[in-house]
Amino acid sequence: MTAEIIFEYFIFFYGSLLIASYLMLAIFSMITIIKYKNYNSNLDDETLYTSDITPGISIVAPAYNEEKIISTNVHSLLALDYPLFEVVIINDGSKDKTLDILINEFSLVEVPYAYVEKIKTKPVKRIFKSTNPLYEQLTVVDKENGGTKADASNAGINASVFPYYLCTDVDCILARNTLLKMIKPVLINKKKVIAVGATMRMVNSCEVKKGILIRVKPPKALIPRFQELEYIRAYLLSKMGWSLINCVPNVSGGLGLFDKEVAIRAGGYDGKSHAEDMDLITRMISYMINNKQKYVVDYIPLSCCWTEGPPNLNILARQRVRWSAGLLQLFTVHRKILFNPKYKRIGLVVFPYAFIFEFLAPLVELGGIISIIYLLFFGKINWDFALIIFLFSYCFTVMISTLVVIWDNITFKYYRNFTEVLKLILVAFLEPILYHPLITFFGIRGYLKFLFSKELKWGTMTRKGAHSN
Amino acid sequence: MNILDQLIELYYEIKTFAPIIQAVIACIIFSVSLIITMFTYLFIMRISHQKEVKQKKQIRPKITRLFEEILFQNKIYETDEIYEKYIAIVGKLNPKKIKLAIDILLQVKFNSSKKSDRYINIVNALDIENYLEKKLNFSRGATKMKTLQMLQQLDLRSLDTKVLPYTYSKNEELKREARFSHLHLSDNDPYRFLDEISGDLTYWDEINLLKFLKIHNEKNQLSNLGKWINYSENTSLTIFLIKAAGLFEQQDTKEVLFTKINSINHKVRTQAYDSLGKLKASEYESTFIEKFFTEREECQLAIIKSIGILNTGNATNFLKKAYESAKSVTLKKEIALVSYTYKSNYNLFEELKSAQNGFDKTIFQHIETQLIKFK
Repeated sequence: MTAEIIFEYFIFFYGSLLIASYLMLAIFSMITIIKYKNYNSNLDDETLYTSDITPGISIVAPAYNEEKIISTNVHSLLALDYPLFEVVIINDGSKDKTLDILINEFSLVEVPYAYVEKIKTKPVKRIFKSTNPLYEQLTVVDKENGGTKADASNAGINASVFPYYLCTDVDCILARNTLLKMIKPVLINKKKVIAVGATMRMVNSCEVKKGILIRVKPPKALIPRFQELEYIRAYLLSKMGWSLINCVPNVSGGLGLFDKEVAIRAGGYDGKSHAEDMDLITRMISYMINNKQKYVVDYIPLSCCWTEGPPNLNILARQRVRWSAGLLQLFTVHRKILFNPKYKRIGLVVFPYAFIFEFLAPLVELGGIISIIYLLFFGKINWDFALIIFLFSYCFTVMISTLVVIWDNITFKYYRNFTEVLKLILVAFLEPILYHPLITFFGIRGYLKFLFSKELKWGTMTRKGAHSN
Repeated sequence: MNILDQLIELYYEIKTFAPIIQAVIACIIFSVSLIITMFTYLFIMRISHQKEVKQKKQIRPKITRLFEEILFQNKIYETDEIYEKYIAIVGKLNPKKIKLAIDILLQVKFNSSKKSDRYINIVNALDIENYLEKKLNFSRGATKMKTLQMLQQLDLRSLDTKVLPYTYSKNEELKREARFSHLHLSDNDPYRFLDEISGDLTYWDEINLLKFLKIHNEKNQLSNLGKWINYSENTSLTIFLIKAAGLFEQQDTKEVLFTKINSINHKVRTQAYDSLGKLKASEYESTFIEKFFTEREECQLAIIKSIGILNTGNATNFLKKAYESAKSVTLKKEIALVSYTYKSNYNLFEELKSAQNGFDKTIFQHIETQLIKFK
C-alpha cells in the first residue's frame, strides 16, 4: 500500500469520525437545551433573588491598559441583578490611566486590607475601596504587572470573599441576570459543580448605554460576524453537547463561574499558560479525580456575555496564534492525562477528542493541501468526485451552522428580526471558504510560535471602545 | 429533454458510481433539504414571534394598568367587570390570553411593593384556576412543573388536592416541585413530605423549602421544627431544619438544638451552634466556651459568631484566649470582628489590636475599616 493510499484512508476515517462526532454533539446539545428550557424559568430568578440564603459571588475582572472602557464597564458590572455580590477589579500594573480613572470615577481610597496570598502572584501594591456607598461592593486591587491575565486573576481570587467567583474580562458586557442564571446549575446539582459556563457573543455592533446592553445586533464587520457564528457554534453545539455527559473541555476565561475553594486547591490559574482557562479546568478536574470526589462542569445555553471581537486580521491572528500555542502547551504540560484511564472522562474523552479533532485538525488540513498540490501536479485528481466530496463537506458545515442558529433562536431570540438572523446565516455560507482557511493558518503559526518562541504576554487587543457610549 | 428526463439520467449515472460516492451524494441531498427546511422553520418562527411581540407591546401596558387598578385602587371590581374590561383589551378569551394574564399578574406581583388580597378576584374573573387545572391534567412533565410554580406564586390553595398525585411522580423534578407546592398550598398537613425526603437536599431544595416555610411563618402557621430535627434520620434535612429554626427564631427548639451540639457529624454541630446563637440561647454560652478548644474550625467559627450575637459581656477572656490560640486567618478575622462590637468592661478590640503587629495588625485594621463591606 503506498503512502498516498494510506493518507487517503486516514482522511476518510478522520473525516467520517469528525462528521459522526458533530452529529452526536448536535443530538446531545439538543437534549441538553430542551432539558434546560423545560426545567428552568424566570420565576426561579425571583426565588433566588429574594432568598435569605442565596450564596454570594465575587466577580473577578483583571484589567491591563483599559482606560477607554474601564469606567463604563465597571459601572455595568456593579449594575448586575443579584442579591449578594462584590466586584473585584485587578489593575495589573497598567501603563495608561486605568487606575487613575478608577480612583476618580469611583471615589477610591487606599484601605488596610487583610489580603491573604492563597495563590502565589506578583506583589499586590495597594487595595482600594470606594467612599461612595453606591459602590460599596467594589474592590480594586493594584498590583505589579505579572505579564499575564492568569496572574491578575489569581490576585483577584485571593482578594475575593465569597465561595464562588465569576471570572470575566473588563471589556465584557454581561447580561444583567448573568449571576442569577449561572449560579443555578451549582444550586440544583447533587454533585459538586466546580465550574459553569455560558455563551459569549460579539458586542461590536450592539447598542450599549452606560455599560448596559440595550440591543443585540449581529456585527457589521465580517471578521467579528464570523466569530459570532463560531462562538455560538462552539458554545451551543460543542460545549452544551459535551455537558450532557459531563465532558465539557473548557470554561471560557471571558465568562466562567467557579468554585473558589477547588480553584485555589488546584493552584489557581497558571501564569505561564497561554490557555489559562482550559488549563485551570483541567487542573480542577484532576484535583477532584485525584481526591476521589465527584464533580460536574456545566453549561447553560443562554448568552450572558458580549465581548469585543477582533475587528481586523492582525488582531484575529494575534488571538488565534495565542490560543493554538495554548492548546499545544496544554497537551505538553498535561500529557499524562491523554488516554489515561485513571483520569476517566477527561483522560479518555475530553483530551483525546481535543487532541485528535482540535489540535491535529490544522495539521491534517495542511497535509490535505499538500496532498492536493501533489495530486494536481501529477494529474491524479478525479475532478467529478473531488467536487462531490467538496460539496458534501461544504453542505455539512453550512447545515451544522444553520442548526446552531436554530438552537440559538429556540433558546432566546437575541436579534430583533429575521433580517438580522439572516445576516448571521449568510456568513455560514462564506465561512468555510473565507474564514476557516485563515483559522487553520493561524493555528499552525501558533504551534510554530510555541515551539520556537517563548514570548508570553497579556492577550492584548486594541480596543475601539465603540460600544462604550 | 425535460428536467424529469435529466433527473432520471442523473440517477442512472449516479448508480454507476462507487457506493461511497453514492452515499456522499445522498448526504448532500439530505444536508441541502435540511438547510432549506431549517431556513423555512426559522423564517416562520421569527415572523410569528415578531407578530406576537408587536401585539404584546400594544396590549401589555394596558393590561398592566388594568391589573394595578384592580389590585391597588380603592374601587372594588366585580368579577364580571374585570372580565369585561380584560376582553375589551385582548378580544376573545382563549388559553393564550389567559397565559398572558398570568404572566402580567405575576410581573405586577413581583414588581410592586404594595400588597393586595385581590389577586384572587382576577384569578376568578379570568377562570385562571380552571386553565391551570387543565394544564396540570393534560400536559407533559415540564409544563406541569411550571404550572405548579404558577400555583405557588398565585397562592391558589383551592388546587392543593390537584397537586397530590404528582408528589409521587417518577419524574424527579416534577415530584420535588409538587412536594414544594404541597408544602405551600396545603392547609391540611402541609409538612407530610418533610418525613419522606430521602437523600441529600440540594442548595436549591433548601432555598425553596425556606421560601415556603417563610410563608407559613409570616402567617404564624409554622409548626415547631423541633420534632423533625429530633427524629429525622436524614442528616442533610436535619442540618437544613436546624438552620431554619434559627432563622425563624423558634425558641421552642432550643433544647433539641442543644442536644445536636453533641452530634458526631460536624456539619450538624456547626449549624446547631449557629442557630443557638441566633436564638440568643445565652444559657448555653459556657458550654460553647468549654467545647471551643476541642472543636473543628468550622464549629469554632460558628461558636465565635454565636458568642458575638449573644454579646453577654462574659466571654471577653475567652475571646482573648481564642484569638491567641487561633491559627487560621479566617478564625482570627472572625474573633476580631466579634470583639469589635463586643460588650465588655474595657475595649477588647483595642487591647487585642495593640498586641499585634505585621499582618495580624492588618486584620484588625481591616475589621475596623467601615468602607470594607464584606469582611
